[in-house]
Amino acid sequence: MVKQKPFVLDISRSRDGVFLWTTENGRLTRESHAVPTSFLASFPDEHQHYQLIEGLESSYEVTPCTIRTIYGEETGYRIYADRDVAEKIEMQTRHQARLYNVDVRTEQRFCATACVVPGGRKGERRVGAELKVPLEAMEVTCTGDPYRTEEPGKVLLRWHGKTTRCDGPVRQVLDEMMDSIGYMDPDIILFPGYDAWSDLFCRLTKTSGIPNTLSRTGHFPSLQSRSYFSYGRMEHRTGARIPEGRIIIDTRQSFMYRHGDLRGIFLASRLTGLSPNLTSRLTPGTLVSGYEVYEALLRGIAVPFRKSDAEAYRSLPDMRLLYRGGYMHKPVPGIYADVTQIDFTSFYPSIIVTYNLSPETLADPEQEGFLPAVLQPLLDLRQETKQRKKQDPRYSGMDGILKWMLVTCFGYTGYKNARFGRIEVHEQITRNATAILKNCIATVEENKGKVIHAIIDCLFVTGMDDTRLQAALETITGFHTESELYDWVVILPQADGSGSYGSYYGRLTSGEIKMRGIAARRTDMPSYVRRMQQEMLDCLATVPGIDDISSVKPGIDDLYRRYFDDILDADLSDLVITRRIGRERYAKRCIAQAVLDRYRQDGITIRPGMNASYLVRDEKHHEIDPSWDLTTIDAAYYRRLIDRAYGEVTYAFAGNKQYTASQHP
Amino acid sequence: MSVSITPGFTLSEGTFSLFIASGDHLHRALSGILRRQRGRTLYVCGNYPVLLTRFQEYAASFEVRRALTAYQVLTILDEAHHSLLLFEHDPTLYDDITDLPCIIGQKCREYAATTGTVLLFASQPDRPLNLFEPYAHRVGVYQGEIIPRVKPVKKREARQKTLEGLW
Repeated sequence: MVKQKPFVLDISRSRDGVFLWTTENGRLTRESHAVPTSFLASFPDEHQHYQLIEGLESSYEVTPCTIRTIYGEETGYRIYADRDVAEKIEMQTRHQARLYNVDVRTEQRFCATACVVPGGRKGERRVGAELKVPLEAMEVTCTGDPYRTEEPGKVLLRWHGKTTRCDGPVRQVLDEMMDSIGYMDPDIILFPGYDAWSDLFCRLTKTSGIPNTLSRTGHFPSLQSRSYFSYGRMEHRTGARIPEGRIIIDTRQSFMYRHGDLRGIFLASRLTGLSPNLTSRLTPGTLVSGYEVYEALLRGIAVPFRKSDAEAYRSLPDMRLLYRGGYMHKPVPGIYADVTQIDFTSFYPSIIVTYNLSPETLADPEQEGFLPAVLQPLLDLRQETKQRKKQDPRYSGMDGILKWMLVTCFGYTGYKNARFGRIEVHEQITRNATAILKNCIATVEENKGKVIHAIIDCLFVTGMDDTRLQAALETITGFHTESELYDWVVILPQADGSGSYGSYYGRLTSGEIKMRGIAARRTDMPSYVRRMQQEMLDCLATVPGIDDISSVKPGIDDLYRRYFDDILDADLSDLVITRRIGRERYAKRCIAQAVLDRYRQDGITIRPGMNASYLVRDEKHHEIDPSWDLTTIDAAYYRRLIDRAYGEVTYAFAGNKQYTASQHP
Repeated sequence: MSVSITPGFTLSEGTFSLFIASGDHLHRALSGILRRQRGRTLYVCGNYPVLLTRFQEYAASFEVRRALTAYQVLTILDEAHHSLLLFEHDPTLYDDITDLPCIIGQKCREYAATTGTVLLFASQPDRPLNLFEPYAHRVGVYQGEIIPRVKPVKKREARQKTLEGLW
């Protein structure tokens, strides 16, 4: 039997370096490693700053060195000091000094030097689809609401098929919980709501004198809460107290866990050199940034401290013409038969790699770009996981993480603080993408096909054999594609009657309904309405032929009538709406402001980007009930939602005519 | 060369001026400057400039360089070589960075002394703009409305000399 190498479970910071937590045959080991703090500095005019350099040499270890950046080499110094010193140099040189590797995390520096990463086995391939990761996790649930009370309620611990129940006064619950966790000592805990509870647990255990066993060191570094704007909407990250030596994942809060499960989280750790406790809490954009930083460290490339490389000189007309975003071919709303959907796999990252797009290649396209070099292994791995998950669902989590990292790596090139990004790279990617998509549309038309819809990296085509179509597009682009065949597709209209870019549904040849942007898929719709539309779509799914589609209309009308009439008898919890609140205050009276006011009355402050759950009691007077105090509903409001969801389905019968109220049964 | 941008406020060569006025007024004032400017002009702004697109008419007479961070403003000032620098103020560049407006202010003053005229303009005062103030040679705040000067209407001579065109 081949002996397995030790698995690196976690990495956490110590006073002078890092602790590496490894497991081998069920035995946990903590290794302590010293990591000297240092950064790199170069001065455009060294003579001007000779006193500063002499001063540094007298207080810290300073060694002359060559600094390799993505733009080339420069002479400078390695200074063995911390960030405070770096910031003082900045101030004293009036930001003339160029600083590198100042805010690189200690864990990443250690991992890059020692070639060991968390989430993987020592000495094994880092960028690989590793299946053999420990998955045995304790599940912990609290019945309380962390936003409303300071009591966790009953706590249930599920471990090895057994459930331990901690109940009673708060102190007793905490005592039993911490005692059980300390005794069972799991490496991984899946805990919905942990991030919101963590601060309270730390405070209560401290005041009660109970050892907090959630962290194996007893320390809990803080992750600050923050609201931020991402992809056109406000997001919120709850603050958390991060354990050390044990992985605790907030399964309710973690976007990466939802899309990547434990294998995905460990893969993200292997790629970035960060603890799984962090990778489960970071956004895909931050993971991409972490991955690029880690790759830079491995390749000996300095990571700039400040984003100072500005956009080149432009003329005003160029600025308007050169950036137009992704290409969209406006669809005509209606129902279409025999449609093939072609999706380019990781389209934008593939463009970055194929066209060698990177900040430094803008001036010198011949040199190998940093971004293409680091994205190529991710793209290859994604191809592998995408193929493998079709046969083995265990690869889905890793595929999900890679998908999101690759999706965000494009947007990240234009982010103002991206270490290795420039807005011109971002623009060049979209320009290439537009040219490729237009070329594809021309090819389809040359082959007597018709493009009914195209958006950024995807085309809907009729009148062309799918295999021939896919082969033709892969040949002219050189990119890998995926295809899906529909018996029919319904493209819904926008308010102005034109076709919607993102709202459609269709029956795949497998009999399954695929949908985007309609009520059944929207998370801000009450489950009552979602369920009604899903049942209606299930009726539509029984009809493969576009000509027979009206045969199911009576059944759909019956469903509509039933849901419409029964709304007052519905379970109120089925009518709860959960939506994101984007602001702290709204200028006008509206439902969102009513939600903010009502939550505040109950002592809960909603930060921008947080979700709120409520029932609309009186739309006209902007009255809502929070999810914990449901009384009654505004039936007219909910019936309007039902009408809208019904309208989306019956548009299939209306063909390309606008849906009108007179079509109600 | 001195250019009057509004009654009582003149943009003089080799100075760093700070000018606050409404968007419409800034548009008129800067259009006047761009119309008369003969040397190379650089328009520096943030990622979402408010006024830039209103100068389409003079697009050929200036270059643009956008800064997404305050550190990029420093780079732009270091690399610029234009005789006129029009700097559209963007307070979002200085979020949480209190020391940089002062350093940029100093750089603007140095640029004015060594390379060319700098005009920093904004439609309303704010905290980072106040930090620039000590470094500016002149500060102008225009609050009034401009009454457009009415040109005397010249009687135009008709171009058509005969009735030929009517047939």
